[in-house]
Amino acid sequence: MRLSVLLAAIGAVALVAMAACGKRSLMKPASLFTPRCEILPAPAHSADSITVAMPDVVELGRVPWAGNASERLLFRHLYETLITVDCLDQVCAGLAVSWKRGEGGRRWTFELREGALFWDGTSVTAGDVVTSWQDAMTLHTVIDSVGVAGGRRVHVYLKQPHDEVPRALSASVFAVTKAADDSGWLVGSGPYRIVSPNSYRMGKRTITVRSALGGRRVIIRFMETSLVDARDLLERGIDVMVTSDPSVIEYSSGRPQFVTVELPWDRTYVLLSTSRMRALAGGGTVGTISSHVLDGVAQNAVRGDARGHVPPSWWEEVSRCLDLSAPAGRSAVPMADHASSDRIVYDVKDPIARDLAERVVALGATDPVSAEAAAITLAIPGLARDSAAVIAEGVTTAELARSLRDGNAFAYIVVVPTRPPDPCYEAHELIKRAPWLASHGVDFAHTLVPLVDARSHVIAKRGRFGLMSDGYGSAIVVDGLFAGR
Amino acid sequence: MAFRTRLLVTFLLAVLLPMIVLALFIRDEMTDRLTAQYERRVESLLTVIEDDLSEESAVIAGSLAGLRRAVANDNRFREAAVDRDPERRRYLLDYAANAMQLTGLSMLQIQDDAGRIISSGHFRNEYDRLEPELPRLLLSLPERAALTRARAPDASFLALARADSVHMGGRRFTIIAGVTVERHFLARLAREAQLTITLIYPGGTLTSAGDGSDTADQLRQSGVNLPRDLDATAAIERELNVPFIDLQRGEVSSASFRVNHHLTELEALRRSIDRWFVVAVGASGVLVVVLVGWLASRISRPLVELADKTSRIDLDRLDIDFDTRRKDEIGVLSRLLGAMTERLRTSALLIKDAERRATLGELARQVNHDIKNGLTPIRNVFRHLIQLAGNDPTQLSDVLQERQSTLDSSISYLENLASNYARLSPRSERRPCDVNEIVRQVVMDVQGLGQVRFHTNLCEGSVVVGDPIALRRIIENLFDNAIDSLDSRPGSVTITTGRVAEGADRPQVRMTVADTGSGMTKDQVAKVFDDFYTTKENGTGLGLSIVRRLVMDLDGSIRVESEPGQGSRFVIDLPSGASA
Repeated sequence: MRLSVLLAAIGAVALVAMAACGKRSLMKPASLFTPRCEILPAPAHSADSITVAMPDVVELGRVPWAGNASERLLFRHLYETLITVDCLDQVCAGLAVSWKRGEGGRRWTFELREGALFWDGTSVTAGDVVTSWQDAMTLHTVIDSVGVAGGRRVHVYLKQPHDEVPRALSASVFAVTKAADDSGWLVGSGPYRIVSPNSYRMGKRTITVRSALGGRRVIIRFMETSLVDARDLLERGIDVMVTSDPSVIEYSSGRPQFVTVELPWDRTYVLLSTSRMRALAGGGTVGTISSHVLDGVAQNAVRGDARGHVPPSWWEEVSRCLDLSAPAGRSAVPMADHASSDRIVYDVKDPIARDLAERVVALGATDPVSAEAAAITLAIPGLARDSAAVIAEGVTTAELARSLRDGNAFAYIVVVPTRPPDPCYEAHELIKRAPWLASHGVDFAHTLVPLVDARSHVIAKRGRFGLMSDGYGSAIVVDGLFAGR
Repeated sequence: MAFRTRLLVTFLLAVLLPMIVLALFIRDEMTDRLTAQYERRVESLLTVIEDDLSEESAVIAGSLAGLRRAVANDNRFREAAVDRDPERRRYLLDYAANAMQLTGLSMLQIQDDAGRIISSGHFRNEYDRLEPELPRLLLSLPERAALTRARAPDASFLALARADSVHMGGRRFTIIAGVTVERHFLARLAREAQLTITLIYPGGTLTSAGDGSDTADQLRQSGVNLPRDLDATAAIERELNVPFIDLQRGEVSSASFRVNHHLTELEALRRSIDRWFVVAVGASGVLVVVLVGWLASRISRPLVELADKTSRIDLDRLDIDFDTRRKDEIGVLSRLLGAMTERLRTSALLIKDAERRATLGELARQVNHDIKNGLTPIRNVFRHLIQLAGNDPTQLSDVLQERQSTLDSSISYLENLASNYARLSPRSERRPCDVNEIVRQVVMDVQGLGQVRFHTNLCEGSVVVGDPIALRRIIENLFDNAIDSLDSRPGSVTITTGRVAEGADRPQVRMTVADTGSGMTKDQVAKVFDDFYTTKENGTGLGLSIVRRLVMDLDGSIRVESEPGQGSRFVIDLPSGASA
C-alpha cells in the first residue's frame, strides 16, 4: 500500500515536471530559475557586490564562445542563447520564450522574449540573431541555416529533422550578441554587462560586471585566481568558487559559512588509443569496459569526485552526423610503433587525468590479476606488456594538443563534455584535435574508451545571494533581476 | 761540421740528456706512487661504501619498524586491510603515499599475504597488483637490504629495499620500504668527482657520472684546469657485490658496485709535467744556444783573427803583425805564424833582388833589340851604297839622296829611343798619328830584303792617337816576324789599314799584317805573345810580347789567326784619332 502511494507520488511529480519544462510541442517552456536547480536560495536582500573565483584565464578573443569553465561561468551571465538546459538536463526558455516545430522537424520557429534588450537599450530582433550567428554557421553543427520570420520570430533550419528542439542552440556559440562596445566586449542581452574588463584586485586580473538594466546595481567581480591555493581564497573574501579539488571541497565542507554543492556531471575522461585504432582499422575486435569496472576505477583510482562513465555516450549518437571525416590528409591511423608510442599522455595540470593514466599503466604492467585489468587490456590492445613497457607522461596542454594531432603516443587521456549541446559539433571538434580518429571504415562510436565522468563543486558563501546550476556544470548568480526574467 | 756546430751539439747533449732522464724518472716515480695511493683509496672506499649501504639499510629498517608499529596500531588501516571495508579503501590506498612522505622513504608498498599490493607509495594506483616474489625474496635476506627494480607510473627505478612484516587478523602483511638508487645516490657514495661508481645489475647499469659528462668534465666543473683532449678512460677498478632481487626470474641474483678511480688528474699532472718539461727544455735549449754562441765566439775569435791575418799575407805584403801576449795554444800558433812570416819576408827580398837582376838582363836585351831595329835600315842603306860604289859610282849621289830620308828616320828613331831609355820611365807620347804614313816608311825601309814582296792596301784617314815611335815599333816587329816566318823563301807580306766600328764605343783603326810564311800551330798561337817565347833559333822571345804591350798601352787589341803552312795574320785594332 505504502509502495503504491509512493509510486503514485513519484508519477505525479514527474508529470508536473514534464508539464513545467522540457518536451512538449509546447510553446511555453518553463523558466530556468526553478527551485529544482537552486544551489542557494536568494536572500531577501542580495549583497551589492559578489566576488567569483575563476581558475582559468578568460580570453577576450573567444567571446562569447566559452572554451573553459571560467569562460562558461562568466559568459553565462553576459550573453543569452535562444534556449538553455537546466541542471536536470531539461530544455528551458532562454532568449526565446516559445518555439514551434515545422516541416517534419526540419524547421524550428522561435519567438523572442518581448522586451528583450541589449545592454545599450536596443531591442533584440530576429535580425540580430541571424547576424550574430554568422560565424557559428560555419561550424559543423546540426544547424543548417537561420532566417528572419518576423520582428521577433526566427526560423532555424536543421540539417536533419529533429523531434526535439535542438539542444545545440543552447551552446555558447549560438549566443546572441551585437558589435563590441568601447570595452572591446561584444554587447549581449544577459542580465549583466561589462563595467571594467581589466581591473586588479588582490593582485589578480578581475572582470567586473554589474546589472545591465535598472533596479539594484549588483556588481559581480570575476577574479582570475590560478596558482593560488583555493582554501586561502575562501578566507580572503571569495563568495563563489567552482572547484574539483577534493582537498578544497573537504575544507569548505567544514566551514559553516559556505555551502558546497555538486554540479552536474559535466565532463568525461576518455582514453584514445592508437593501438585500438590500428586494431579497429584492421578489422579486429576490441573490448569494452563494463560500468562496474569503471566504477571501481572511479572510486579507488581517482582522487576526486568521479563515477564510472554512465551511458548513453554522445559519441554513440554521431552516426547521423554529416561529413564526419578528418581534415584532408590527416586521417591515417598512426602506424609508427616508435619509442614515444610507449607513453600514455595526459595534461599535467589535470589530477584526474594523471590518476587515470597511472591506473591504466599499472593494470597493463603485469599479467591480468583482476577483472579490471582484464577488461582494460582487452579494450586497449598492446597495453599488457612486460614490466618496462608503457609509462604515463604528463605534458603541457600545448604538447598534448601536438601529440594528439600526430598520434605519436600509445594512448591519451582526454576530457570531453559528458552531455554536449551538439554531439556532431563535439565529434568534429574532437576529430580536429585527433584526425586519426576518423579513419575510413572505423565506426567513430568505437574509437573512444570512456573511463570516468567527473564533476565540479560550487562553493558559495551563505546568505549573500542566490545561486543556481545549469545543465553544463556551471553556476549562475541569481539576484532579483535575473530571476525575474 | 763547423767548430761552432760541434760545440753547440755537445753542449745541448750535455745539458738536455740529464734533464730528459730526470723528467722521465720523476714521471714514473710520481705515477707509481699516486697509483698506489689511488689503489689504497679505492680499497678504503669499498669499505666505506659497504658501511654506507649497511647504514642505509639500518635506516630503512628503522623506518620499517616504526611503520610496523604504526600500521599495527592504526584501526582504520586494520578495517580497510583486514576487514576489507570498501569505505576505508581510499584511506588504505593513500596510506603508503602519506607514510612515504612522512618517513622520507622513496619506496613503500604494503602487500597482503597473497602478495597483492594493497597500498603503494610511489605508485598509488598500483593497488591490487600481484607481486608475491618481492616480499618472499626480501624476507629471505634477513638483516640485509637488496637492490630491486621498482616501478613508478612514468618510469622504473632502482631501489635499495628491505622488508618487514606485521600480523593483523591472522594475516601477514609485508611492508617493503626502500630508497631510490640513482645517480645522486651513487655520487653521494663516491664522494669525489675522481671516483666513479657504476652499479651493474641484471638488465642495466647505472653510474654516478650518468649525466653524460665524463670525469674530466666533472673535474673541470669543480675548478680543476684540465686539457681538452685528455684521455679520461684510464682508471683503477674494484668491485663490491650486493644482492639483487630479480623479479623476472624470481630469484636473488647479484649486482655489483664497480668503483673506478679515474686517473684523469694523474694524467693531467703528467701532461702538466710534460708541458713544463718541454718549456724547460726549450728555455734550456735557447740558453745553451746563446751561451754556446758566446763561448764559441770567444774561443774562435783569435783563430778567426789569425786566419784573417794569414789570408792577408802576400809577397808584396809581409808586414803582418802576429805579435801576441797570449800564453795559450793560440799564442803559440800566432808566434809560429809570425816567425814564418819573417822567414817569408827574408825570402821575398832575395827573390826581388833576383828579379831586379833578371829585369836588367831583359832590359839589356830590349835595348839590344831596339838598337838593332834602328841600325838595320842604316846598314841596309850602307850596303846599298857600297854596292853602288863598286858597281855604279855615278848613281851614288842619286841613291844617297834617295835613301837619305831612311837614314834620317833611322837616326831619329835611335835618338828618340835613346831619349826614352834615358828617361828610364818610357812615357810614350800621345798625339794623332797617321798609321798609313808610318806603314809606308817601314815598308820603304825593309823594301828589297831578300825575295819578300810587300803589298800595301791602305785606307785614308787611318789616324790613331799615340806615340809614333811605339806605332813604328809595333809595325817593325810585325814585319820582322813576317819576314822571319818566310825562312828566306820567296813570299809576300800584305799590310792593310782601314776604319772599323764594330763592337766599340768609338771608331777603330784596324791594321792587318799577313804573311805567306810557315804559319803556327794552335799551341804556338796560344803562346805567341808570351814573354821569351820564340820558335827561332836566335830569337829573344820579346818581339811579339813587346808588340802586345805597346798595343795595350795604346788602348788597342791584337789577335793572330794562323794555321801551319797557311801563313799568319795579325790584326790590330786601335782607337781612331780622326775627328768624326
